[in-house]
Amino acid sequence: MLIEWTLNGRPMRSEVSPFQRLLDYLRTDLKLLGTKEGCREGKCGACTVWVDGQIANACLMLMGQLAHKEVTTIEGINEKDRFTPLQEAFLTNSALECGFCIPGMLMTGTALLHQNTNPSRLEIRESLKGHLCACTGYQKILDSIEGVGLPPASEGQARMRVRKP
Amino acid sequence: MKVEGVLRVITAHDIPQNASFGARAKKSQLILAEKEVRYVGEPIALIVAESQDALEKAKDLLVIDWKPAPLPQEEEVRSVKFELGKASNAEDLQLVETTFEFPSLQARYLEAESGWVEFKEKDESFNFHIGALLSESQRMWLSQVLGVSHEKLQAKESHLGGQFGGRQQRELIAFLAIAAHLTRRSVRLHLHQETQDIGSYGYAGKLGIRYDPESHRLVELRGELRLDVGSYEGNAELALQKALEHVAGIYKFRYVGLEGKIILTPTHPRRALKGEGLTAVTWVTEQLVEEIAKKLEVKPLELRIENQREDFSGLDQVLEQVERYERPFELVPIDRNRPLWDEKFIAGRGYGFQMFQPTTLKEFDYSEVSIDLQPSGSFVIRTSNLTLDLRVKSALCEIAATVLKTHPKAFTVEGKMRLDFDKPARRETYPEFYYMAQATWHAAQLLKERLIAAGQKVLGTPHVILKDGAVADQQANRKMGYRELGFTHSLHDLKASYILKGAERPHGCAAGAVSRVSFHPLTGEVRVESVKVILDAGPVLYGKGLEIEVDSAVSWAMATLFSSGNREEQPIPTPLDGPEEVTVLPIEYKVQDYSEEQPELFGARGIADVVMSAVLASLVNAIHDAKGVVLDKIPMSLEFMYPNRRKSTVHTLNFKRNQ
Repeated sequence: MLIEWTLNGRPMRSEVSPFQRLLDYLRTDLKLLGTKEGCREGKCGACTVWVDGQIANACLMLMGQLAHKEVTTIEGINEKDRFTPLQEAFLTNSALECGFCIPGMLMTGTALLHQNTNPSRLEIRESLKGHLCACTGYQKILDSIEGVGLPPASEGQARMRVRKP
Repeated sequence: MKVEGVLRVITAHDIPQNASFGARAKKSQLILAEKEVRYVGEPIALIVAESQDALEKAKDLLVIDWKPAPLPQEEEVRSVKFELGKASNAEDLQLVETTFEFPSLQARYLEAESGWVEFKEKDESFNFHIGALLSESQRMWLSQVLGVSHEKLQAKESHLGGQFGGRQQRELIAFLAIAAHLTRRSVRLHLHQETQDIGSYGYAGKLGIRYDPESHRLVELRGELRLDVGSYEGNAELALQKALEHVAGIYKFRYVGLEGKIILTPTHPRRALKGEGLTAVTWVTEQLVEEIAKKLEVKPLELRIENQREDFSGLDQVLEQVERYERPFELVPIDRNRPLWDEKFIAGRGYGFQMFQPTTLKEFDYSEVSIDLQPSGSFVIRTSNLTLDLRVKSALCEIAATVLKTHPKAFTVEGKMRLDFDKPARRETYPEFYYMAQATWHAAQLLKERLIAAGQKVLGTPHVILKDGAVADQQANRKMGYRELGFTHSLHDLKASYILKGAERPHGCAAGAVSRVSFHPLTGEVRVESVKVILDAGPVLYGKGLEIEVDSAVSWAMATLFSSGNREEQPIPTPLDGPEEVTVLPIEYKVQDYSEEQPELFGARGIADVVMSAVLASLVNAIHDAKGVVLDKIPMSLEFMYPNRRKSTVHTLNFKRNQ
């Protein structure tokens, strides 16, 4: 099946089986390894991507569903080689240990910040409930998203924002 | 029979030296099984293929000539005794005792292991790309296995990951190296969830404390510990020894008499995952102490303060701080005569304490760090450890930046193998952050002196300090940035290197945790409301590291306590399950300035184990407080949650996630 779709802002035309998982296509065919394969059953959130601006588990999406859709992966949220403010915040807070769950957390965290620039702690916890982290613990991750959500320091420069999906 | 695309099928006979994983043990697992297999799933052959399809085909065609042996029974391979003090003959002592079980916990699927090794035909070298660290000892071991020089074995730094060292990784690197060596090709390997089934040691046993009801003294601690290691012993003896040494926790007993046994069972071999024994026993002792406080009708914290060990310097401060923070909060006792439906949530508070005092002062090998100023005004930190992850790198940058009064982003960190440094001997150098951080701090201090000396020369005044990325004249408003300094000065003078070796560890670690939980009597829902940890970790260079340890300990303790023990059902807490508040209060020490004298070391060892043990014990005690029942088995069973109800009628909500 030939599908036309957009990946990270680039128009794509892919000859694929409609039943192939998006996750497999990204990791195996396109070698985009930033999207992680955890449970493969929608529990862990490590494979989170954006489909038409909505967060989705790539392990539960089939390629046949993606015709004329716009997909963004972790590789597509950076502008050139620069980290996004949220990625910076994760580093500053040391909010990662093995780093496996972080791409998914970043996709959801960034999407949340697009919808709500100043989310409450509970809203962040709610938004991340579909993600599992087995080694870092969540407090630092919550701190990072909360920190980016705060308004910029008064005399500082306006913070760079990533493009909206 | 030949399958197209299959490069080689490797068995134990093909490996130059089929070495064992655990050096000290009587029964240790070999890289690939020879002659006998001891558990279902033990690796016996490696298939190296060009594609997944070829691999699957070859796997189906593999014929194994084997005979079933009688099913191995449980076998006791080692017995260790631990005794302290003199047994008392007093008859007026009272006894509290309990049996306990702490399960083998599985490695979670989120921590998948994979890697690849690049084989360079030109110089026949191997370059590992793995998520975890390739330590010096692993490198030496691998060179023995392959029969090649250790200089041929290099590793690529991983940007992330690498804090797990020695988990599943030893199989992964061995398989990768053997496959690449024998096929002379670059090879990749991904361990699936099923193939990386690895668990921690399972503990069970019985502990009892005899106490004097008059003087409120804890007098004797006796017990037995049974350590189930699966099919192979590995390095279980060390873990058992640690467990036995720490059963008494922070308490001063007149007599401690413990017996430990290592048992082999025909199951998957296990390791010391997440803590070496302390985590599996602390909660039992702590719960018994809580029980004694209830019987004596004294406050649990007061009983602990009365019975604390006196030979450990930081412990009294920890207890003092816990008391200071917790004294204002008195929980209203639960009226257990009221009907269940009258109670919405039953609150409970629990304490947990543990300490770690290294018993032997092992001389460790060098950790060398050098810091160079570049002409661009930035700095390069080079460490003698080959693999560093991003988190360690950023921490080292932060430490150096604090000393050199500039921004952490002015630093880049490179992991260099010790080979590049001037090293006469090679011994175990596990790339511990603890050592690297200290060497970095000292190297930065040396460089600080050199920068000041250079600044004094250029500015022509002795009153020079470092300030905002520049050397500044304290009296006149003059300064010169590092960039200009680097540009105008010989860079040879503006670098410093520090070798840390043969140092002792003056600081142990002690931690106290206070947890609050609420328990719904009807739905069985347990909420962990808050966890507070007071920690004595010596003079700390990188405070964020302590927060991370505690954060991680809370997550681990919750998963351990509420999981079903079944691999399929073992839950990982979500952000909604965790407590809303996790607080860390380190006991503050002044970080010592550099001087010509031998400097005191920073930080402490064993922090992760101590924090995990204290947090788990505090959660157990908080649930004990809320429910009034002694927990003898982790994870909590349905029978523990509902002792008077029929199992089939109960639907539990262990976590809040289904709300």
